[in-house]
Amino acid sequence: MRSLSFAALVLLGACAAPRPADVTGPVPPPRRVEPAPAEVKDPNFILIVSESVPNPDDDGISFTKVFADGKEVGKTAVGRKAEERTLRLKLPVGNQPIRLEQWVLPGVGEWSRLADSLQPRERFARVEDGSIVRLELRFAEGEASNTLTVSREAAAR
Amino acid sequence: MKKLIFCLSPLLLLACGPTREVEPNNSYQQATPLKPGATGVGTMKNSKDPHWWRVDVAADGVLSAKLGGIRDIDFVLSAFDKDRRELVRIDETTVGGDEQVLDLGVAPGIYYLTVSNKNPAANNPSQEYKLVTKFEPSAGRERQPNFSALTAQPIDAGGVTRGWYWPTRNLLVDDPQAQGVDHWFSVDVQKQGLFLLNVDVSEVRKVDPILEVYDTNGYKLITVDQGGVGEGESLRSFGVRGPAKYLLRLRSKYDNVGNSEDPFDLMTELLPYQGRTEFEPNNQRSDATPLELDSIQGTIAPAGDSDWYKISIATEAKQILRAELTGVPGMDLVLALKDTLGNDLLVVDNAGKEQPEVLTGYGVTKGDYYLVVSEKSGKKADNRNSYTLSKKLIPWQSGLEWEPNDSTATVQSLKVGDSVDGYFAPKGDQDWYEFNVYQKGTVELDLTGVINAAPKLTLFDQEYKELASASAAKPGDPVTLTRDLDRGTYSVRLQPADPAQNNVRDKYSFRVIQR
Repeated sequence: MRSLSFAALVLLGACAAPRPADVTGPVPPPRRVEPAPAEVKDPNFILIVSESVPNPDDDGISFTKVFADGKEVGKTAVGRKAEERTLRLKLPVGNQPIRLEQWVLPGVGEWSRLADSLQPRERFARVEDGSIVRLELRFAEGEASNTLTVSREAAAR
Repeated sequence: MKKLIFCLSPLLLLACGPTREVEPNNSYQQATPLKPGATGVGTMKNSKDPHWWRVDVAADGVLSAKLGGIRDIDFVLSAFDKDRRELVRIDETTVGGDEQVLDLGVAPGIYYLTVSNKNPAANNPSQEYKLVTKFEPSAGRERQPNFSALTAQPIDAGGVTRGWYWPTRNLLVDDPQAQGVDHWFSVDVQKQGLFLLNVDVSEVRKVDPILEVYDTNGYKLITVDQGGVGEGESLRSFGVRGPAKYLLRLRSKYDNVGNSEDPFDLMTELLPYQGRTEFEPNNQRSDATPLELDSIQGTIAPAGDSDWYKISIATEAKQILRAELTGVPGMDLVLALKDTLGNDLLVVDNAGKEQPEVLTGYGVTKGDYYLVVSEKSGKKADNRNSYTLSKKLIPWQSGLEWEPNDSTATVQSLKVGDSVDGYFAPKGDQDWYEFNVYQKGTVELDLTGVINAAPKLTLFDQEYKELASASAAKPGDPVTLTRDLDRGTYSVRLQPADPAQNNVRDKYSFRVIQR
């Protein structure tokens, strides 16, 4: 009878023990899927972002936010760094400072903003009717360096 | 007693004198014994019959034999081992000429020397020939035949081996078209690790030597052929990885050229690699020598040599790479910086012959970079005078120029009110800076003077349309430009008026002020 009550205690103890999921810590929240930027009709600003990734093993995930005159006006789709991503925007006409902000998803952890010293420089872009400002941002050496070029093309009529 | 001495004296004299051939001696079974170091004497009564001499060797050594030429006879001298395998065949001269075997490597046992004639019209039955032999210890001596990679003579790295460019032809080779004789040596690197192999070949009259290094797979690693006729060769700081065996092949550049009077000395040296010198071969990216210490030494040899050095940067932080290359007598060196894939980032060729080159600074981050040293003409070589390549990595901070900034795409951002220090170097350098004006106003651009450069300052708007420019009156003078500017982004290009002007020593300082 004594041994029977001991077995019952053991069974109770087993029921009270933490489940494996509890032992391994909190489950990370499901990753939010970034929606693709909506298509813009008659854009006057195009951003093209790419990165030179010599080794496919070093390829990761990134996206770029665009700020015009201090306000966020859009962001590229989330994609592999080596993929070229294009963002078309319709910005207010005028000469305005454009700041690009690069975000990367490390192998472990959350989205992180690239350090200030590695971010592309802010520069003005003159947005005019009848033409498209084209900004090309190209990262290299694992975002350690970047080149930013600006050009203008006539808008399609 | 006197009578006895008188009777024995001819016998004693005979014992000390040359050994006379004993006919018949035209087969190895009938060979006339000849002590190593003794002289054999014979006559070519029947000029078609070879004369066999048997040499009993008691110890390791090198055996040489010189056969004096006689009228009408075109001698051929051969050496065989105990199994009658022909080791070497010498036929360097024609009728009446001497022939000689030099430094045949022998071990205790029986060897044969044969004297034969190849002139069918020979008729000299009475004139005596002399076959003079010499036996010497083999330490520090080449042991022929070592004419193929398979018969390469093992040598200790760290000694001198004396040998001969003789014979000039290998008559026993299978290929009848083959010319010349190779001298093969093997160096066994027994210890684990990286080592530097130095090899020097002394000069020999009439001979233009070529030295080659092979691995055990038969792949040629390097050819050294800097010297000309009568000059030596030298291989310096050739990197080898142990444990492994390497083969050295030494030969005369020109066929049928040799020297039986002057020997060559082959000096080898094996040093542990300590990162202070280049590790040849380092002629391409994949073989680049790691540049881990502050400086490293190297030589440009052979002609056309280019030395690659790898700089691995582990930290993510931005740094400025600075490099200095010392001059070498008689040479104009060029220093190039390449990226991880070997693409050119910058070529530094500021100075002329025998002058140092300086890479004043290049922005680097985590990754591999390569510094490549070469000689401008690609035709010069010198392994006696080395260059020193030194490097410095300086943490980048605001206010320092960040190369590359030589185009609008790589323009360096600058805040109004800040200044930046940079170099007009290398030759042809131009530096682009960009600043934003957030409120309309008067902006002043100040550039300090630099010796040897008369700079020009050009201001562009954000569409890269030129707005204004100003130039220094003469080298060393400052430049100032003042302009009312609207809100927008502006670029400034700084460059010496003459692209040849540069200064690797003094920095300029550039400042943007809004009034």
